[in-house]
Amino acid sequence: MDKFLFYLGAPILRFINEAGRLALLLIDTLKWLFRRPFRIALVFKHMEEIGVRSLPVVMITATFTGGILALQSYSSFKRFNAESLIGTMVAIALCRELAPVLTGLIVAGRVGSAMAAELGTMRVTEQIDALYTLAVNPVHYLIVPRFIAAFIMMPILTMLADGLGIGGGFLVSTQVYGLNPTVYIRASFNYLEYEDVYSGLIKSAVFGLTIALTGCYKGFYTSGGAEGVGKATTSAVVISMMLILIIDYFMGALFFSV
Amino acid sequence: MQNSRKVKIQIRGLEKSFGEKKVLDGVDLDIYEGESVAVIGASGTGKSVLIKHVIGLLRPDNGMVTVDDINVQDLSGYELQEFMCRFGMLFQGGALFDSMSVFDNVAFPLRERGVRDEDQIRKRVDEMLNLVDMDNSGNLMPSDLSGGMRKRIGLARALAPEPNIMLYDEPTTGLDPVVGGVIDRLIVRTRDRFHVTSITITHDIRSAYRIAHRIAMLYNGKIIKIGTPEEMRSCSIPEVEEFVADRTAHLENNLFQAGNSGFKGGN
Repeated sequence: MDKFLFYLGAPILRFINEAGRLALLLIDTLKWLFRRPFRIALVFKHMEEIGVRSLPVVMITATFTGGILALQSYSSFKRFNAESLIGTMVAIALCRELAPVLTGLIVAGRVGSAMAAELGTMRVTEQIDALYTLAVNPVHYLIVPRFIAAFIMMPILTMLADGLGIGGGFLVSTQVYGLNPTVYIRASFNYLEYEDVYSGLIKSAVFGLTIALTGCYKGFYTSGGAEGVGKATTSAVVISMMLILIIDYFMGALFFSV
Repeated sequence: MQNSRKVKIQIRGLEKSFGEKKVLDGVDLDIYEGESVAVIGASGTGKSVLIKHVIGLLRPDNGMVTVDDINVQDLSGYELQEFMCRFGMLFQGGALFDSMSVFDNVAFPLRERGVRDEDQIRKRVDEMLNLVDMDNSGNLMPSDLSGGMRKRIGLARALAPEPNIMLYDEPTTGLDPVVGGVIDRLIVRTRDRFHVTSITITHDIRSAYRIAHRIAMLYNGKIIKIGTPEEMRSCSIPEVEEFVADRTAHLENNLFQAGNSGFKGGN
């Protein structure tokens, strides 16, 4: 019985411990967010890393997702002669869910891992302690710029994914299935509401914060040399991907329940 | 004589445990202005833990640390950052920022403290690189440097903003005796030229003899003996004797011994 309780309790305690430290780091980050000096150059550097360098993979993913969405829905919508609504379905699905979530997952894989690896390496080689002893707050120098950059770039990437995804669906529907382009475009935008778009963008901004915070947290508290950096990187990606999907559900429920 | 000098760092009854393990068990230590103290002890005796308390990276369970009569554990966040301006620290591996060139590494603390004049920065960086005998290395990246060179650049970076307390974490560990000697000489040079107060943690007794005015031995969470290098050599406490014994044979560097005994505490 004791053993059973131990196996039950240990992971729960570990989870609470981790969640607490993550929350403390978030509070610390928010506390340093508006402190001078504002490191604009660093923010731009990370915006390039997070946004510009993620462009190709986000573009390809979005275009093909829009395409396959149109392809799959054509065969089912045809059964009840609703082909003209494919555009509506593609646009809403992309803006509400697919563009923010897929972009989030991609950025988590690309950028979250890089953040964890970079900060983790800095931790195990004492560079983070060095920052501290040089009278530079490591949270202010390392985490705040990444946090801001992710917050700004994720919605931008998502907007792009929205557009490209709709474009991909348009191409497949008109070129492969020969639907009328005017009808398709009208169907796409007539029924699309502002709420569909901005709910997706707000979600993506939250995903950006989640990715930056998880990646930085895992890197910041790395221990155990090169192996530790590897572990931190992996778990940063896994945790931020899971968090994205969980947060997505709850934010979706919040936005669209009424 | 020592009581007449100003106490720079005062450690009183410092206790710290990690889980069940009591790492520091009542450490008392006074460090005077301009003095160089080496804390020796085997690995895992809490030397790094001690130093982390001095710079406020760790909070004591009991006891206190004051620096310039400021109670370190009372500081937080922004105050702590201001407080850190009086320190410089040399890390075991140099801890250079590997995304920056040597020049930018040394310039980093200056830029962070609001120096905007690039000429002034360049002048100071050159001066520091000259101090550690690494002239014209500004364009190199840390990955181009050997272990000893990294430590020298690390020292240059720590000294650039003119700290008045220097902390050295195992300065000679992982270096061959010749390079280790170079680092020791730089530490002595720093000590004598800038009159900084310094704490060195090391298990290299030879290095401690060269750079320290006083040596403190940490054992089982307490300082069991503190004294000049001569006093340590003639100390009869078994733990100290054991630590000091088999390495005294190597003491060939008379230059450094002469340097150590010349300290009169001019401040």
